Amino acid sequence: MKKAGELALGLVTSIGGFLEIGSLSTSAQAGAAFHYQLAWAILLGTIGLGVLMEGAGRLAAVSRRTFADQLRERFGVRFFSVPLLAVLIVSFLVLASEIGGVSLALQLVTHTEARWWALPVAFVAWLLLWRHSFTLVEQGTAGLGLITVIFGVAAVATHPEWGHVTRGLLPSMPRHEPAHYWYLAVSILGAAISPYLFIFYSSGVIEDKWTADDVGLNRVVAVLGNLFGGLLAICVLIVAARVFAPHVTSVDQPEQLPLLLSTPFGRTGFILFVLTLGITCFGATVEIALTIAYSLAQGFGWQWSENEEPGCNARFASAYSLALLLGGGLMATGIGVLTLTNISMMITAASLPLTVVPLLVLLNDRQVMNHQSNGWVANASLGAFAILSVVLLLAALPLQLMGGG
Amino acid sequence: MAMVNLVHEVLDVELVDWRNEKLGRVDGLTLELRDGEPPRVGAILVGGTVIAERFGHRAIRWATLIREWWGGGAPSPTVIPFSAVRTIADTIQVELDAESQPAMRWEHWLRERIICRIPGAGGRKQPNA
Repeated sequence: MKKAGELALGLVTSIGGFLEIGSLSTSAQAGAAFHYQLAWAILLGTIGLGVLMEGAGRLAAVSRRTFADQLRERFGVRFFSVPLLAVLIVSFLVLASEIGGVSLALQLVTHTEARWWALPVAFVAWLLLWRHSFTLVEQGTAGLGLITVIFGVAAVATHPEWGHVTRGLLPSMPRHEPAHYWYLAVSILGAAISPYLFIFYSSGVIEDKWTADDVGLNRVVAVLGNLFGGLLAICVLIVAARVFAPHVTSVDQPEQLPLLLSTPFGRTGFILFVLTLGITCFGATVEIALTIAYSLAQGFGWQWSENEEPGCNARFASAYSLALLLGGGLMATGIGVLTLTNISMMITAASLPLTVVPLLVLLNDRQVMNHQSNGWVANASLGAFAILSVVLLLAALPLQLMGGG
Repeated sequence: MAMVNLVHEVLDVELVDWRNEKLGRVDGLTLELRDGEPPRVGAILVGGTVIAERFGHRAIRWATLIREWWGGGAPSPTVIPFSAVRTIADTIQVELDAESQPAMRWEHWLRERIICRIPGAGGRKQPNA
């Protein structure tokens, strides 16, 4: 049973990375506009999130403390405030987008505009956290989230040119609309690698009481979880290329998204799409609300646990309650779900150096990591991602202006 | 005699009370100046205004403004005498009860005024229990 719980943590983290509104919409946009040519960006995101999750999990398992906790202690409160603020802003925007994703699923079924669903969705997410049923949400998302495998079935059913797909796994220069191409590449990376994921994952490692002995297990969970999520995100891109291209090149209306599954599978496909969107975005909503509370609680030494009654952790409970209320409130203003999602993914990509670089430093600290500090493989790959994250930071704003929308 | 680096191993480290209940982080440290004797580490400080002091003058002014707006009165950080420290390791354990410390004011305020008024909050801990 313990093993199932551990795998659930990896699966849920990876679903939060690859199969929620951010990845679904960016992969669909990329497939429609550039066929399989951007598959490499998803592959890069998969490797990146895998390496970062493994690192954050190893840090937590070996030092018995979470990433946010270590950030504050190692770098002091002044430095800590910068990544903290970045994580809070980015997570809040992504939270609102995920609430928007669930609301969108409800809109597709009920034909009531998404904005009216935002606060009820936030309320249900809050109620589950309030009743400290996160384990239920986590295992529910991991279990029901397996429904996303349908994208794999759809990818095969739409008979893609596999040779072209394989070629897309290697980066290549765009033949048209270069600004939009690079904009989508950065959005895909931002959608896959969010800093909230490593804070969430490392907190899960502590809540599940992993130790230095679980370093191997952590590696397996990070690799398996990411293979699952990353492969399926590539399948979404394949299906989008088959369904939309060459006639439709932009996916900017939420109503277009269900076509991904309703084109190959008809009415059943429509229902499966709505379920996939609803389940994965709901899981991500609860995950992010918790992460916002985790980062504050761990940074300032408040009591925190997903498994205790709110009365025991009043500040922690207030933090996730307020986050959900504000996130639901932002969506309820009627802002477009896909617009907000696209903006959030760019800001996420831009914020990455603030968390990736300190993680790299911590993983090389022998005092923190004992004998489990980074070897050269981990350093080379994490270092490459740290450099990539800085490139993303510099590229995000100009690309948003030139290639967005 | 073991040496402990105050900046790396004490400042910003998590504080727990005698029951391992979290009571905040080491936001500041003070030196005690004594007549005719060398100074020694006096106390651990915990609190929002102590954090603000580490950011500089503007942050202190903001912290003061927020306190006044909230009707908080003079800043009163939690002062824990260094003699109350029991162990210094991954966390710093002190011989005190977290619930009775001023650092927990916000926790109590939120617990009593908001959280515990919502049905299902449960788990109410009695202060000084």
